[in-house]
Order: sequence, then structure tokens, then C-alpha cells
Amino acid sequence: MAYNDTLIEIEDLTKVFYTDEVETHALSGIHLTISRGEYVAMSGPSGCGKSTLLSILGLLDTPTAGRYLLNNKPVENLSFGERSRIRNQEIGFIFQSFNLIGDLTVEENVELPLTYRAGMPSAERKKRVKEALERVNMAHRMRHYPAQLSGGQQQRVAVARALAGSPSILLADEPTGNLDSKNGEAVMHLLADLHREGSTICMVTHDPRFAKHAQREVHLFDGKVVSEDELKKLTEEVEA
Amino acid sequence: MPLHDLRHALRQLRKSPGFTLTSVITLALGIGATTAIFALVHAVLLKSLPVAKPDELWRFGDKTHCCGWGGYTQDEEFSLFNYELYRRFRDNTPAFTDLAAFEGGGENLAVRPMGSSQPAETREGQFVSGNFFRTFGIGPWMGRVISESDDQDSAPPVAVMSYHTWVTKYGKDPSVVGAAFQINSKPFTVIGIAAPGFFGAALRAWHIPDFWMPVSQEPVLQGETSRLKVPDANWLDIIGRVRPGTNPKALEAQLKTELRQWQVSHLADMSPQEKEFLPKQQFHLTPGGAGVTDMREYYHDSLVLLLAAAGCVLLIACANLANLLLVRGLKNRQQTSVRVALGASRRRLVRKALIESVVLGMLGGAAGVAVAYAGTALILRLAFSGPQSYVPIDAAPSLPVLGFALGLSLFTGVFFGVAPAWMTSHAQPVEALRGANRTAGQKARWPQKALVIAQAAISLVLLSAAAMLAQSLRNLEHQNFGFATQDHYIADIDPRSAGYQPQQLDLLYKRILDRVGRIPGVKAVTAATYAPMSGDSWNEGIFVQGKPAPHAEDNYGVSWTRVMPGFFATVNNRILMGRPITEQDTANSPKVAVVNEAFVQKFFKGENPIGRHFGIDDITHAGDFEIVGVAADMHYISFDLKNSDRPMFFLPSSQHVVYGTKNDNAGEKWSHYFYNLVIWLPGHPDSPETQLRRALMEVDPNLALIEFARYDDKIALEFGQQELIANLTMLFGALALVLAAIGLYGLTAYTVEQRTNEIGIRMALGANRGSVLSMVLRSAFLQVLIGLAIGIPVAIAAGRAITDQLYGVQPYDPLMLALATLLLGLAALLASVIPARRAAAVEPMRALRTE
Repeated sequence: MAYNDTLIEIEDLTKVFYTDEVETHALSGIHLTISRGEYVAMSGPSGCGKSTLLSILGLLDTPTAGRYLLNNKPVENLSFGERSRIRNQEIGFIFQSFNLIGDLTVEENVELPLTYRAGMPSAERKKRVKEALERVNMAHRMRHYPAQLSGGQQQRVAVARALAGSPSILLADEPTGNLDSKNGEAVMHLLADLHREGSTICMVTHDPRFAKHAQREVHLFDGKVVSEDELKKLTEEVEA
Repeated sequence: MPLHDLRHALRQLRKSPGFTLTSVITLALGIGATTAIFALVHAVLLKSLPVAKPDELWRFGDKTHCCGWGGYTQDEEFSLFNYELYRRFRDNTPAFTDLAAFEGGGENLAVRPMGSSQPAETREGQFVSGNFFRTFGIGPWMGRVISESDDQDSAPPVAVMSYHTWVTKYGKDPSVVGAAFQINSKPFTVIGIAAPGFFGAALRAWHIPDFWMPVSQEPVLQGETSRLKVPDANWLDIIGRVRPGTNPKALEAQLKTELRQWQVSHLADMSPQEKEFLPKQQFHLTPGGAGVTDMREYYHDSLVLLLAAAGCVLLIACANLANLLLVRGLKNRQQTSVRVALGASRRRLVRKALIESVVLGMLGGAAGVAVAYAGTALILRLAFSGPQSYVPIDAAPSLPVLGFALGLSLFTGVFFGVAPAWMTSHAQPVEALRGANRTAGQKARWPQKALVIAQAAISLVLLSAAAMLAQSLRNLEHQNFGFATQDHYIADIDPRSAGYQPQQLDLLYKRILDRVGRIPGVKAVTAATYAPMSGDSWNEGIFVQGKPAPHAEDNYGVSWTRVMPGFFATVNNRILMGRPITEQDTANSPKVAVVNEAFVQKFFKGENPIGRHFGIDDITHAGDFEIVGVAADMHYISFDLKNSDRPMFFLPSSQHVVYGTKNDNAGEKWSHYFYNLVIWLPGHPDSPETQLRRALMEVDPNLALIEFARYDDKIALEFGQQELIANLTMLFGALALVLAAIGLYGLTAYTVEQRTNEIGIRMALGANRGSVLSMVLRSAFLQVLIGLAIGIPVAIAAGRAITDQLYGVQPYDPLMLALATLLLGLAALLASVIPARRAAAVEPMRALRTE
């Protein structure tokens, strides 16, 4: 499969955190391209900048410098409202800790991003919610509250919530981090199925077993993109 | 163990100064407001007189009929007594060790040291029986008190000065005792100073005696208007000390028999209406430890209303405390889980939390006592700010008041601490290990919301009541009184205290009006027995010529006064028919009267009243006065605000009637003593009071100016109680609103903090700042709306409960309710918009990191 249709293009992206008098370079000169329909895994040791990069990709955070094109449009300097709109329409999030809202039912949780879209009729929202839940095999638990579900089920509901808005890309931050191996595998299979059905996925993971599910692996070390060999070498140096 | 918990509680409170300070201030306001009002309730409604063994004292009657009541029977019950009847009771009722009589109300006295050339100063005096001080167990501070030997016709005139007067007016001068004073131009010797703290046998905001004089001296001062030997002139209150073991019911029955025997002995002197009424005559013996309870009757409803309002403020403050404790408990849930995991029992956890809330309650109570002291002092200053403003109520908290505050603090700490303590003690030990939840959105729990809903509802009730009372006050102050108050002044004088006899009065008034009329700028001046809204009221039953005599149960009573020619023009009252009283109405001309519209409506409905005759005393006097004019109704009587346009007639100053009874003749003579001058003085005159004082001095140095005020101010003073209630209710309403807003703010801020993670998720899913803002506001306003739904019917019910306090305002006034709702809405918006904006400003990344 050829990926000519570029969805995300990042050039020389930098993120610096300033705390008191300390400057922490979380990301330094990142170049990355993700095409439509691609399944990319970002891996690396703890603190290497994976989640920071994912937050910037998801427009939850802004870069200190660099260029970020989403759907060929620059998004690094958008207003808060514009970023909200794009997050709602173009991006679907899957979090490590599921982040379902405890006071809402499964159905309401999945419907939540759709309620932020002006003008979508209620019937349309209900239809999409049903479809999304059926896709993750959770339609039979629509009326349940998150606390009544197992961890694996909660994460499947979170995936349905990410899917309901038909986003351009699914961003998954350690989606198996809070799950046992069986449920973790099940979620990975679900993401693989979604990719096969055409979804673009960018997943952060530090577990090489799960990274193997992706078509392409991007390795990060100390805020920089490195090759697999470089990563091995740098890791050995640190361990030595 | 509790000591360990107490130490821990104190340490926790020290570690959270913000929480502690907020809780203590909130409680101090609630407890302080309630205790301040309770201090007044205690002083006015509950406290006994500062006398020996007050529980042994019993009072004759339980109504206050200040200050004179003519006749051999009394409506409702016999409560005011004549001297003859007093002596009969005293001499024939051995169940009393002592039975004292004292003047109902008091006397204006013009007092100056003998030989002094200074003008006489106005003081309050009261005639008392010789055993008065012994009955109450009051001794002298210096010198001696009045005894029976002083209460003899032939005894030299003596007086006892009050300790308060001795301190404030005579600088504790010891030479006062034994000194001769001129009282109403008569020589008296001050024989002693009464014990400190004793203010007489009645707690009042007026007529607190400066001097007590033996009742036998009354004719010396009153001359021809003396009531001492008049059997149907009732002017004395009676209180006695019973022997131990006396059965009050049996004693009451005996006294009732004695009263009936006395009445029967005067059957020949009674009017037909009195004879008809006699079988219905009531009499009660009531506990007399609190003395004559004028103030209790006058302020009872207002104090109950204010106590209820302050109680509402306390409830709101307590709800805030409960919410703060709940929030704190939930925040410490992890720590509580650890305690449970380590083996703490629920009882132990509840006890620990309760000790903390009780400590907070006690701290709030201590601060509340300080607030109460300042509050009581402020209320007393606001309530009694008139010229005669001494009221013997001490703002310093007494033992019962301190006990009340302590009880309130304990109640607050326990009652409002127990629910949060119970709820937060339900932590599961597993939470200690789990730490973080995997779902977001810890919203406020229902008890927290219920507390805020209750606060909103109570605030609305208070605000609505405050708005209605404030509108009532405005209606009272800005009503059409039927006479001019602007550019008018009212002065109180007392020709009796200057020693004038009735036959000297006409000349005196001519001289006064002439001299006062020459004060630069004075447009007109007049005088009356009592002027409109002056606080006085004279009432008589009338007999209309050509109509049958009324029955005892008929309402034939009207108010009346005597006035000088020019009265109606000076007060700017319209004559609707006929003519006013003029200079032509002399002692020798036909006796005339001007009546008001209400009089015509009552006695001559549909008839022309001009030329008709009526009279007072009995039917034989029905032809005494010819009606020559009808005046427009004036709001004349100040104490019955809703029915102040009573039937009324006005008689000329210079005409006299001779009646068949001593009492009516004494009253007739008395009516010629004019207590009020009304001066029409437009513009901004230079020191009018000084000019008037000088004018009166020139007329007679013994003629003291008792009070002087702009008419507007005088009327405002008459509405002092309404103003105080309205102001305090508004203050409590504002306090309630602020506390409720703080409560709502606290809960919303807490909710936002708890929902930070959820807000982050929502933002990650595409929520913009507007939707987050509206989500938080919606949640806050939902509670306020439920509070309104509960509060509106309660506010209407509260309005009905205070109908007696309202004037021109309906208890379900939609405008007032709308105003209160709007205020509450604004406060809620202010309280919730700050945390809502904070929520909307949350950065999604930071929110997602928050556990």
C-alpha cells in the first residue's frame, strides 16, 4: 500500500518546558510525516518525549518552535477555539487511563464529542454512537456506567468514543498501559482491525511487543527521533 | 484518646489557616447575629427586674393600659387601678407581704436645685406607694428610700433619685442627698439615691424615672387635676410580693371577689354602659417578676421576627460549615482510607471529625460573642436614638446570653458536624492502595448540593421579607398624612410641670403663641393637647343627640383633642364642610366641635353633620357640642399605624364643660393643658430650637422645652421600630446572601477542582471554553433554581406570617419576590462565574495530568 496522501507533517519541532530557572528540552528538532491510513507506533524509554509529541499532534499542547501541518494546514498557532474544533472533528483520543466520565453512561460517554459539534441532530448522534459501540462490541452495555465495566471494556468504550466522530486520526497514548496482557492484546487487535478498515493510527507505547503491531515504528530518545540501531546503541550506553 | 483527637484537631486547624478562618468567620457571623438578637430577647422578653426574689412578685392584670383609664370597668380586663381600689386590695389581702402601687407611665418634671437661677431641666418622675422599694427589696445606694411615713398627706415632700440620673446628670455629687430641689415649682428634698441598676418596675423605652415620689404628694404637683382621690381615675399599676406557699389561683379568685365588691359599692356612680358591662369584667393575676411589660408587648412580635431572621442566617452559616467540613473530609479521603486500613473504627473516625467540628464551633462561638456584643450595642443605639433615649438594657453579654452562645456553638459543631463526619468515615481501605481512579468526574454529592439548595431557599425567604419590610417602611414614611410635615416643627412642653393651674392657661397660651410667632421666619404657630403623630391619644365614648344611647358592646369610642384657633391652617389640614375653630369660639360662646371625615362616616353616614350635637360622659351631655365643621382625615394616632384615620373631634381651647363625675371633670381640666406646639417655619432657620427655648424662657423660666424636632424627624422616630426591623432584616438578608454566595462559590470551586480531569477530557474531545463555562454555570444554577422553587412558596408563607408588620404591601407581592429572586440570581452568578471561568481557563494538558 502506498501512502502518498500526507496527513501530518512536522518540521524541526521543538518543545521546551521552563520551570523556575531550569529549561527542559522535551523535543528537539523533530521531523515526522504520517500519511493517511498509516499505523505508526512511537516508542522509546520513559521521559523520551513520546507523550509530549502525541499531545502536540493532538493539539492539546503547542510547540515552542517548528512547523506542524495537519491536512496540509498549519495548526501550530491556532486559537484555543480553533484547536478545540479541530480536536473535535479531526482527532480521536485513546488514553492510557481510559478517561471515561464516571457520571455518564457508556452511551453518553461515546456521544460526548458529538455534542460539541454544532448542528448535529440527536438522531444522527445516536446512530453514530450505536455504530461505534457495535464496532467495539460494546453496544450491549450502552446503559452501563464505567464503574460497572472491566478495564478492557472501559478501554473499548474509550476507543468507540474516539471513533464516533469519524476523525482523521486516532491518537492512542499507551492504550494498554492499564490493562492485563489478555485485555491489552484484545485492544491491540481492535486497533489493528480499525487500521485494516482504513483508520490512521498513531500510538505511543514503550512495550516493543505492542509496537510490532504497527506498520512503522518511530523511535524517540531524549526528545529526538533516532533509528532503531541508534536507539539500541544509546540505550546500551546509558545502561553501561 | 479524646485529648489526643483534640490535639490532632487543633493541629489540623492550625495547618489550614484559610479553612479555619473561613469557618470561624462564617460561624461568628451566624452565632453573633443570633446571639445579639437573643440578648435583646432575653433583656426584653425573658429577664426579670433586677430586684430581690422576682419569682415571689405577682402583678395585677396582664395588659398595659398606659397611662390613664377612666371609669369603674375596663375593656378586656381590669389592669390599671385607682388609689382607693389599691388601698382596698392592700388592706384586705393578707396573702401579700407587701403590695405596691406605682404610676402607670410617669410625669414630666421641671427640676432645678432650690435657689438656682438656671432654667429648670426636664426629668422623668413617678409616684409610688410608700412600700414600693420594700416590696421590690431595693435599698438605697446613699441616704434612704421612700417609706410609709413619707407617704402621708401631712409628710414633707421627698423624692428618691435614680442611680443612673445621679451619675449622668449630677456627677455622683454626694451633696445631692439631703438637698432641696424645686420640682414643678414645689420644694422637695432628695432623701436618697436608689441602688445601682434599679430602673423602676417597668422596662420601657420611655418614662424611665429619674425621681420617685410618694403617691400622697401627687395632689401637691397636680393640683386641680389630681387623680389621687378620684375613685374612677385609674392610673396605678399594682405589684405585690406573696407569702411563700400562696396558691396564685386561689389568690386571683379572692382578688376578683374584692374587685367585684368594690365595683358593686360604686354601682350608683356607674354609667348604664358600665353596669351592662360589669358581669363581663375580667381580672387576672400574672407573674410580676418582669414588672409591667410595656416593652415586651411592644417589641414581642418584632423580636420574634428578628430572632427568626437571625436564625436563618445561622442556618446558612452552618450549612457553609457543613459543606466546608464535607469538602475537607472528601479531600482527606485517601488519608482516612489509610487510617481504616490501619484498623481505625468508624466510631473513632466519626469522633475525630466531630471533635474538629466542635472545636470550630467553639471558636466561632467565641468570636460570635464579640460580634453579638457589638451588634447588640449597635441595635440599641439605632433603636433608641431619640432625645429621651435612655433604655436600661446592657449590651454586655450576661450569663444566660453567654450560655446561649455556648449552647449554640455546641449545637452547631455537633449537629452540622455529624453528617460530614459520618459520610467521610465511609472510606474503603482498598482506596489507600489503589490511589487513583480510572474514571473522571467526582461531582459534588447530594448532601453538598442539598445544603446549597437550602441556603438559596432560606436566602430568598430573608431577602423577600427584607424587601417587603423595607417597602412597608417606605409606604409608612411617604404616605399622605393629611397634614403638612415639611417646614413644620413640633415642640413638647408641659404647663403642669411649670405649676400652672387651669384658669391660668388661656393667658399662658396667648403669650406663648404671641412670643413664638415673633421668632423670625415663623409663618404660624398653634398648640394642642396633643398634635398629630405625637404619640399621645385621648379617647372617649360619645353620645349623639337624637340617637339612642349605645350599649356596652357598641364601639362608640373616638379620639379627641383640644386645639387653638388657627390649628387647622397651621398644620395645613383642609376643612371640607363648615368652618374651623376660630377666635370667636370663646368660653362664653356656644360650645362647638370640628369632627373629621371618619367621625361623620361612623355617626352621620349620609347625613349632614353640621349643626348636629354630641357629647361625652353620658347621654345627658349629648347636646354639649355643636358640630360646626368637618376636617379632612389626618393620620393622628401613631401607635395603630394601619387604622390611624380614627373618628376624631376637636374642641376649642377656651371652652369648658362641667361633668357629673370627679374623673370626667379632672380629665376635662387636664385636656386644657397643651403638650404640643406646632410651628410652621419655612426655609432653613438659624437654630430654631435655641430661639424657641429663649422665647419660652421669656414667657416663663419654669416652662421647660421637653423636646423639639422637625416634624419629618418626629414622624420618622415614630416609625423607629419599623425602621429597625426593616434595616436589620435587610442586614440579615444581605448577610444570608453573602453567606449563601460563599457557599455556592465554595461548592462550585470544589466541583471544578474535582472535575479538572473531566474538564480536560472534555476539552480533548473538542469542548471549547464556552461549553465548559456554561456546563459549570448550568450546574451551579440548577441548585439555585431548585432553591428558588422551594424558597418562593416559603417566602409567600413567611410574608403571610409577618402580615401584621406590613403596610401597603401584600405578603405575596410579585415585585418584591422578583426583586429578591433577581438579587439571589446576581449573587449566584457572581459566586459561580469565578470558578466557572477558572474551569474554562484550564489547559487540557494540565487537566489530563491531574489525578
